[in-house]
Amino acid sequence: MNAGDDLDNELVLRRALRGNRRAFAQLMQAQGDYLSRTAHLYLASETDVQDAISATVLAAMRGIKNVREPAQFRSWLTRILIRQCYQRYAQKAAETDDAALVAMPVASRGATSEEKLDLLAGLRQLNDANRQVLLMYYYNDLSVRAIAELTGQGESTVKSQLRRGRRQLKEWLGGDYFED
Amino acid sequence: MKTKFVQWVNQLQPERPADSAQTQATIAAALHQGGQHRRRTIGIIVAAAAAALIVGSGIVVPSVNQAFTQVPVVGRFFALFNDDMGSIVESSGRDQKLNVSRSSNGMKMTLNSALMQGMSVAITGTISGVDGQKDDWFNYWVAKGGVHFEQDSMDLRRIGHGKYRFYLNGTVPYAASQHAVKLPLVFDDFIGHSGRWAFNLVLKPNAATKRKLSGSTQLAGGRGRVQLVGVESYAGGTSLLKVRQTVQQAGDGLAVTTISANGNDYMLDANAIALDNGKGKTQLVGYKIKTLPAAVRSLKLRGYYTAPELSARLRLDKLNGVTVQAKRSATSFTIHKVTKTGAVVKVLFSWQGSRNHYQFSEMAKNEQFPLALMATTYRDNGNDSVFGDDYMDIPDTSEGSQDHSIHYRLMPGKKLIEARFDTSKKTGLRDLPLSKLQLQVNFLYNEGISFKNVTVSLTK
Repeated sequence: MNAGDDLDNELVLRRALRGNRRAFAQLMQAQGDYLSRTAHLYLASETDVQDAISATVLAAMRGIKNVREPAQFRSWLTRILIRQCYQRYAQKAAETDDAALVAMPVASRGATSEEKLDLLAGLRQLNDANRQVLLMYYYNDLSVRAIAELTGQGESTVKSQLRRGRRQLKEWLGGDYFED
Repeated sequence: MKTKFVQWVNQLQPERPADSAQTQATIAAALHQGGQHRRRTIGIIVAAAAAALIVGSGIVVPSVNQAFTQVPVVGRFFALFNDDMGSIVESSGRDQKLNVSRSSNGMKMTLNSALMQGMSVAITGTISGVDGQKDDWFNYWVAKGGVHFEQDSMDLRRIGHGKYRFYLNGTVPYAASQHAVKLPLVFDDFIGHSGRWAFNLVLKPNAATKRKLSGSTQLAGGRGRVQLVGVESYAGGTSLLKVRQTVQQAGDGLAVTTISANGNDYMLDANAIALDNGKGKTQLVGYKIKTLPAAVRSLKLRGYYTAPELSARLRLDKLNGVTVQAKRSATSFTIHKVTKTGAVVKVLFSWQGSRNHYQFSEMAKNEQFPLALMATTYRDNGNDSVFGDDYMDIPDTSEGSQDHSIHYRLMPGKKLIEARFDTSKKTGLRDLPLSKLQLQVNFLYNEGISFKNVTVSLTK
């Protein structure tokens, strides 16, 4: 993307923040792939993904004027989306029998990297609580406090989930995936 | 430097999601729904098409601008603003060279070029001598005696030190578009700088040929129908395709986002123009397209159909013990009790629903607000009427806000919520009895059905 495109995008964003509906529509269209990729990290069902995106657009439409600075927009929108995703995950998790959740396969220790990635991709179907919190913290840069507010859990619970998730990944994949 | 975790997660994701098209349809449907939520008074099809606009347009420069290179860059005014129609007309030499200037407060404004293709009007200009940019807008109005001009969009670009190019477009009424139109424009502000630049424009319509069409087809599993009525082709290379669109239920939306023939996309603007009043289930609209070659016998259409059920409004004095059931989904609101003490209205309700955008837990946390309170005389203008003195739906939730005028409380037992509306600062609500107040319950149900490659012959 060149400097001219950046300027166009900034103008659209500024107009959207000022309540210009056409600009808001353009802005949301441009976020489509980002919203989809992010939602797919948290949700396994395509129906839930689209539902979460739809709810995010509506929530953003109502609250866009509360965004003070253009630089805040992406993180603000991400929080809305993650909240919508987590709601749907939590609802499904509450409906799911814990006994049905697949434990981390011990046999994966001998698997190739490619096989492990496949396993990981497959494990996305679990919507595991640890994975949710890991993504929020390490991938989407939310603070422990923000995650606690979003998920309705205590901060100590969030920290426990982060520790368990890190340990799980380290046992499984080897190495430390959280170092810079 | 990103952590390995971030890199690993990125590796797991495809560059472009497989559901990209579906996501765009979801976003468009949600935007349409969001606009409808406030019960816009414009026609149903126009509302849907307004959302469809953003499906067809985007921030990236469209390829048509790169296809027309015959006109020297110095003469290309419309291309700068991604105006596909303007680029075509300009390249054909059918734009109207204005070259008229006015000066005010040390700034010189020149209207460079204009086009008139049927009802569509666009104007570009340049201004110099501008000392600094204070905001992103310019302001103008059409003076007395001018034609009614419905603005669609406006834009500006900095092209040099103190120099900007600007653009505006819109439509004039069909009857007026058959003759030369008077457009006396007065600009009084440019990016925060006051001035007065007045122009008495007279724009001539490009010659047009009209052809009747008669093909029709059903869409979205038979819920919608489009009938081609005719096409007006203008000297300049663009046309207006007139289509009669019918939906299953009043309130449903039908938007065509791509019109193609023989593998080429001819759509110029997915924002359809309403050609009649559009009440009920049928509306006549016009789509701006590139002029079709004579050999084209059929078109392929792509778009989406929306079947919303957004809300219901009921008088507050008739709601005690009433269950309001949505017709298109399983959502229902049961209003257990409504009271008004002084300026405070309390609504005790329960909610049931499966697939919708509300969660009971979020309502209890004051993060979702499915109810709106308004006077029975409230008129939705589709824009800022929701900020008026006779309407309340959500409090100011921005950081640092002290707005507690609306508050939801989860009652003991966790099956009921009490919504409290403090109308003391709403002069249009606080003194009204329950019989003069109404409650809106939001179902926010919207089924979006996309249709692709639906063929319609130009004639039967």
